[in-house]
Amino acid sequence: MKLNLTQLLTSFMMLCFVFSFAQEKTVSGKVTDQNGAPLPGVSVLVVGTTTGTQSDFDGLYSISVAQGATLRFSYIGQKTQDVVVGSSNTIDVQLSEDAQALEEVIVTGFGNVSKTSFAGSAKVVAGENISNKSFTNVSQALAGEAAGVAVFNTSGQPGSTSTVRIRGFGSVNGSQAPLYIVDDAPFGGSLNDINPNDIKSVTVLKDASATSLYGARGANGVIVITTKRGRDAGNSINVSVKTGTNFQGVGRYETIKSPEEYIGINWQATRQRGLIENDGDNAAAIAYANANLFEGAGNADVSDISPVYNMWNVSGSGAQGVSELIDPATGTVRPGVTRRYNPELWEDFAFQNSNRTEANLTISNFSDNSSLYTSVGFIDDIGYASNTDYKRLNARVAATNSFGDFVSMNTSLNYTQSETNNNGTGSSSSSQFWWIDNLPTIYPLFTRDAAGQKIEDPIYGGFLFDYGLEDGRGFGFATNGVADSQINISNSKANSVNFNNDTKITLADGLTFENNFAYQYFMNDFTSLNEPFYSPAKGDGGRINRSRGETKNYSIRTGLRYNKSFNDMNLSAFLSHVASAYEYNYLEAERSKLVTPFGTDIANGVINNPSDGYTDNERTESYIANVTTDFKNKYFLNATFNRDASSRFKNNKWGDFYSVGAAWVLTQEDFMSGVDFVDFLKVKASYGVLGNSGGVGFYPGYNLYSVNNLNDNISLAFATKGNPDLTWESSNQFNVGVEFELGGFLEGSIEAYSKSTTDMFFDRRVGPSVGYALIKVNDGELLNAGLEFDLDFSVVKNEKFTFNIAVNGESFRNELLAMPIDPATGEQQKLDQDGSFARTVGRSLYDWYMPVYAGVNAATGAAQWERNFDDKNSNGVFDDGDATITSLTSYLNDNPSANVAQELTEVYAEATDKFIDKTAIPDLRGAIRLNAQFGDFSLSTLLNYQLGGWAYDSAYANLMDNDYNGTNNFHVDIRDRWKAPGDVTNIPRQDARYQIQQNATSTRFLTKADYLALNNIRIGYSVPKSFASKIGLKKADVFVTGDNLWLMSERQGFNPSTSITGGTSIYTYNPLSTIVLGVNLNL
Amino acid sequence: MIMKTFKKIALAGVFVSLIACEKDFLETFPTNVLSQEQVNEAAQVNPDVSKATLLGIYENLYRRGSGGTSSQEDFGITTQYIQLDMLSADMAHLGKSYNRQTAISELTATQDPDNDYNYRPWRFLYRIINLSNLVIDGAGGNDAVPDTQSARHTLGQAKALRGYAYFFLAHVFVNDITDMGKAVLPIYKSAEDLDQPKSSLQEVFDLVISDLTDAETLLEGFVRTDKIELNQDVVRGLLAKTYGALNNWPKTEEYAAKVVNSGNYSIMTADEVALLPGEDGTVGGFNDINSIPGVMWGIDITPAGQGLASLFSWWGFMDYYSYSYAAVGNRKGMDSGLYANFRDDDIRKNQFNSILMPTGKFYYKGAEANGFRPFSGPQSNIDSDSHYMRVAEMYLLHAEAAAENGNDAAARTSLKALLDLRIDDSSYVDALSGKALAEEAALQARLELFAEGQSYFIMKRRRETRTRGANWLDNAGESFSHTDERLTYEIPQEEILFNPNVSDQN
Repeated sequence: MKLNLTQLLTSFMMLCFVFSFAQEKTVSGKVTDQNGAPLPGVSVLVVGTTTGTQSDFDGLYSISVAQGATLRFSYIGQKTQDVVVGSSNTIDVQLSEDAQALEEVIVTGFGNVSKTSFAGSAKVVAGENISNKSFTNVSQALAGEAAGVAVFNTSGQPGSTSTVRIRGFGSVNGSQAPLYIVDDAPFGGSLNDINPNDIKSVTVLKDASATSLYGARGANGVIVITTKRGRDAGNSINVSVKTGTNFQGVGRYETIKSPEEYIGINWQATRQRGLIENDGDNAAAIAYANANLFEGAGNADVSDISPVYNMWNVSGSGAQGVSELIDPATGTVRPGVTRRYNPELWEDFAFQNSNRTEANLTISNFSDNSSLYTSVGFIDDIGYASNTDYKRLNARVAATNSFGDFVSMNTSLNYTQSETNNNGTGSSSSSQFWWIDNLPTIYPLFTRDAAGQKIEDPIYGGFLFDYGLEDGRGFGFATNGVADSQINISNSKANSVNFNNDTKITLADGLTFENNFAYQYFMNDFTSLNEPFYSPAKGDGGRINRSRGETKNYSIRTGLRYNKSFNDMNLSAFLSHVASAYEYNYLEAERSKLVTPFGTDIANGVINNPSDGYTDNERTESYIANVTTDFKNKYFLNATFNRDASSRFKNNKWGDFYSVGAAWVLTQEDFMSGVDFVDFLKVKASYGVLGNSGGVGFYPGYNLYSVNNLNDNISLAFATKGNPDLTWESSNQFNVGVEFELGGFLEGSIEAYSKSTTDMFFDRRVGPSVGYALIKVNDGELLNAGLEFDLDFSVVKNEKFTFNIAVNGESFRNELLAMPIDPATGEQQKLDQDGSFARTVGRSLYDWYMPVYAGVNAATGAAQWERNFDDKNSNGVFDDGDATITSLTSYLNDNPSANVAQELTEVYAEATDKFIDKTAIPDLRGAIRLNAQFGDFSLSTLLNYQLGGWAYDSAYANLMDNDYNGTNNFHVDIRDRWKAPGDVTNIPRQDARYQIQQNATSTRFLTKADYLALNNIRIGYSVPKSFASKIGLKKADVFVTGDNLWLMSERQGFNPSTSITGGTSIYTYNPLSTIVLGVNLNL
Repeated sequence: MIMKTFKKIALAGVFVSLIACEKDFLETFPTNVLSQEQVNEAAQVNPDVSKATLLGIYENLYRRGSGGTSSQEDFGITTQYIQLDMLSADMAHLGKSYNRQTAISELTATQDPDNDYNYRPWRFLYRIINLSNLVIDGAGGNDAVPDTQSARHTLGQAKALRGYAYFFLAHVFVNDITDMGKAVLPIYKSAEDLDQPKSSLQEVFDLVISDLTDAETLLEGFVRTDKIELNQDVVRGLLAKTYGALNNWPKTEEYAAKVVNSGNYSIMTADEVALLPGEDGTVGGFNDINSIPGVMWGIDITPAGQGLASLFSWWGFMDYYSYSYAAVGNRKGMDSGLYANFRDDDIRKNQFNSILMPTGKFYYKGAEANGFRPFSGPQSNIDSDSHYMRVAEMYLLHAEAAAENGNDAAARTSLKALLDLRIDDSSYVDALSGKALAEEAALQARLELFAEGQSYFIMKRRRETRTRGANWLDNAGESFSHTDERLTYEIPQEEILFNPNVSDQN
């Protein structure tokens, strides 16, 4: 294949030489727009011939032409201009704007095209929309910017990156993540390495004809990031400083804050249990509650509140003391009972209002043959949770340079240094957030002595934190997440260098040789220190763990590009070869028994623990061939062929893919010239098949063995079953769309797509009795079909005041069209379960499958669930001979003639899992942007919304548990629980865990995931130019921005925008809210 | 001319770039795990590697995650031992902090097929079977008798492991182990087999016996280097237990006697099994199998093992002194009804604290140095060992079987061999005979082997009904038959869904 391609290339080049010999005289020059900015891609045609060329990235062109001939310069969005060739060999042209057309430029496939001529689906996000938000990287800032692009800001940890999904969910087990392209090269570094301030624009490519230009891995969409060059800002120096505050602005769950109320609820729960255990005898129940509110010998099955946590001044924690504490008539703490001490509100210690500071300095300038852009930036972003922060320093040099009119280079070098502290943010008992939301408020942060006094800490100063160790705290026994976050260290230091060089050599008129080399180096140095005196590692004398991960990623693209213009037609084509290599090396060392709690080097410990180290490698190779033509600026056609290879596949590395696209600008047709209302109208369509290789690990083709030490012998344990025949997943994408500009006030686009994934990566489960759990196959079929709209209304537009409303949205359907074939039967598998989701043909990836909550038994207060059974004797009740159904669809698959009946049960284990016809996928989601400009003042807001979809609120479920006294705090909704026979409520009784599994997974906690969020608001003031120039400035802006300030959802604290399925977790670091004041000075 | 030259250079550049990718550019290989090919290659130069895959099977007996989940309760045999001791009512759940294993003591998991508590033992044991089958296939199949001794020893261990796994499955997934005709478990005799239907319990037990019998022959002359390896004695012990489960008492007695009479192991002394008054605790604790002659089979955990010793082990769940759930309120202790059976002079009473936690029986090495304070051990690098069989069990099983066979004298001898190390006066045994003597031997086995994972097998072997004592948090006072559905795991939902030949529960 390689040989053939080489031959093809050679003949292709020979053809070009033939053209170049017909030379008369070489005219060169530069094409600029009305503002003097260079225009790439301008068609330069010798009128009356088929000779033509296009201007390059810097607007430069050169063409062979006879003196006296006419050159025609045409470009979408600009007025066509003719120039007669005189004696001069240089002709510079400045085109003027054609108001009729859109001028937006889309960066795509290693070149720029005007939006008008683009047949694919793309959304350009201006750099300022990204840098206006107070985020450290582009992923978080993309939220709401484009229809069909869903951004999940999963964590408030400063410096975290978001999960991005474009157009639904493309695969069951393959990667659903988009491909990032930075300055024309696939990007394998950390998104945090790119300072949003250095970003010129971000283009989101969504359909096959657009993404296929980047070869392999574009099936889930492509995010193209273009960084600034010297020409973008002109000759200028820019200083911007932002400073502000981070805080917990979106509310947390409303929990019981008063220790008295908490203990009252516990007493009432214990009394409730007493009623059950004593056949409804109230006096006995009260006695039972008094005896069992606090933990004593023999009541571990009722209470977990050790008497040391009885914080009230009563005579004890036995029946007598409790009777002094609680009024049995009301079940609440008696008025006048005083406290021995006031337990701290832990969030006062864990959370802080903190600062965010960002400063950027940029200098840019350009001359005829070169341009230079240099910038340095600094961010110090401190989280609202204690000991969480992110600092970054980055410097960037970007230059364009050309030699003569045939070699140009575009080079950038970026260095980034960053440091992250994220102590107490993991998913374990050391999570600060688990403590803040779930800790019963009777427990103090600091240990109290018998007199209720805090005790001084002899080691670190301050007071001794309460680890709940002495007498067994009912919540988080032996841990203290807030203390751990203060005294331990979890720190990452990263250094990265990103280099990108793009060389273009003009070989002949219209023929360019291109080479791009991009290299990303990323080294992360992680330190985890558990201090020796209080932390979980105190038994080890403290523990220090150091690990280093080194990522090296490069890609080399080499190719030829050919542009040719004829009278009414432009032709451009390119052929590229891309090779990329990714290498990740990991090395870890650990020691325990530390000399000091502060030394973070391995030498600080004396006992060696097991070390580890390994390397992961991935290689890819692609050939990309593309032809694009347009005719009379009305009809546009493109076709792309890709041949891609990935090292992930063992036997079948190569895959062939293609795409075609077409667009038609109707407003260029004569028959539309009379329709004044329509300023612009384009219809477009594309179809393509793209490949995906992500999400299957690096070595899915092999049977893999883990390497371990068994008594100092080598032990190789079989770990994973490989599939050597695994190959590319195919995404078959069809897109149609219309772009329009109407009546001078509405601009927009509407697109519809259908993506079906075939040869899909599917972890096909097997009966585990065969000895392994699953095998990765290419099987099954998944459909995503959707509609997207992007509408921008100019409501008011005059000299003084402009007001725009832009709305975007997406709605899509996700459906499994086929399940994988079970080789044992030759038929498709019928049902697959993934947690509380189940998969079957005709349903989405995210259809809920769980027991149905049937509310509260009004007589007893018990929770009830639906229980299905096979009523074999048809008597309507579950009795002898009837079969229990634990999984309804599964049972019906095996027993199609079952006589399914239903009853209610108070035993959760008997409840039936089933489809409930609810999905996590929303009906509609998107964003609304309001922009207003009044004189020198501007206001913009971005609101994100979602309608429809159901999410499981597990964090809320955890706050509604029915457990022993003192084990978990409650949501305030617990006040509305069932308390006495006849109460009609959806919240069951509290009975100190008499009814077990009361809050187990069921529809009870499935929550409507509608939300409306204020993502960003910005108020700006531009100092009038007349005044600015007096103080020596070209431009001066002052602004205030607020991010993530407000969220409306089904309940406070429930934030469905933080995960793909909308679900919540007890460990979630809610996204930061930030208010920033900024100054931007342009000298 | 310059242009022309340049073009040529550029053209050359194109060629270079196109051939720049070496032929093997797209070949990459793992390093933190190894492919089958890499293992084979290494085996050619390093003789230690050929044994490594057999050791890899053993590793699954205690490795975290061998049950196919990332759960903290997924650490092989001893996870099951804890859970089976609870299901059989001998080990009471005394505290539920962090909700560990509450679905077992509350008996909810065993009614709910998609609860992972069912998945783990199924996945774990069938994984052992699959890996053993790979070795058996490689050695020439089920009927092969390799020429070399080392190959016979390898095959013998693989068959023994397979037999053990089926023995385990036949107990924990089958409600009534006397219902021999009932189709209960899929049988795989080769790694090539896929999606087998259920075979009858009779067929399962037949396979267990043929595997273990073959192994007994194949392991002739095998001298092991580590106690994790299955030797002839352990295989005979497993055969004795299997025949016991079938109530084939003559065979049980025969095989138990072989182990007892081998002379290779001695019953643990009083000093070793309990922290006696006045002892400093340097002896005992069940934490070092190599220093306990009574341990026949077990794993010597070393700190060098990667991630094998930690909270996610039997000790991390059970040992009051370790960094463990037991120390932070998820406590387990002896059922108070069972405890009442200790005679007053039984030194094993010293194994228990006031709430019957076995704090005087199990303690990590070094607990005494920290004054036996709760939660005083290290968090990582816990090198406390686990054992799966000790010779005391064989003495008691021999006594039980001999009594069932009417061989009271031999039964008394074996029973007393143990009791004389536990109580001052074992003469009461002389008054017992026949059934009563067998019952006493079985009871002593429950007392002796408490928290060692054997009670469940005894319950099923004796066809007992057990009653939860007063110290249980759940279902105290309630009785459970050995056939009770709630005491047996469900076949996991994955098997029902994805094995087209298995569609119902046992």
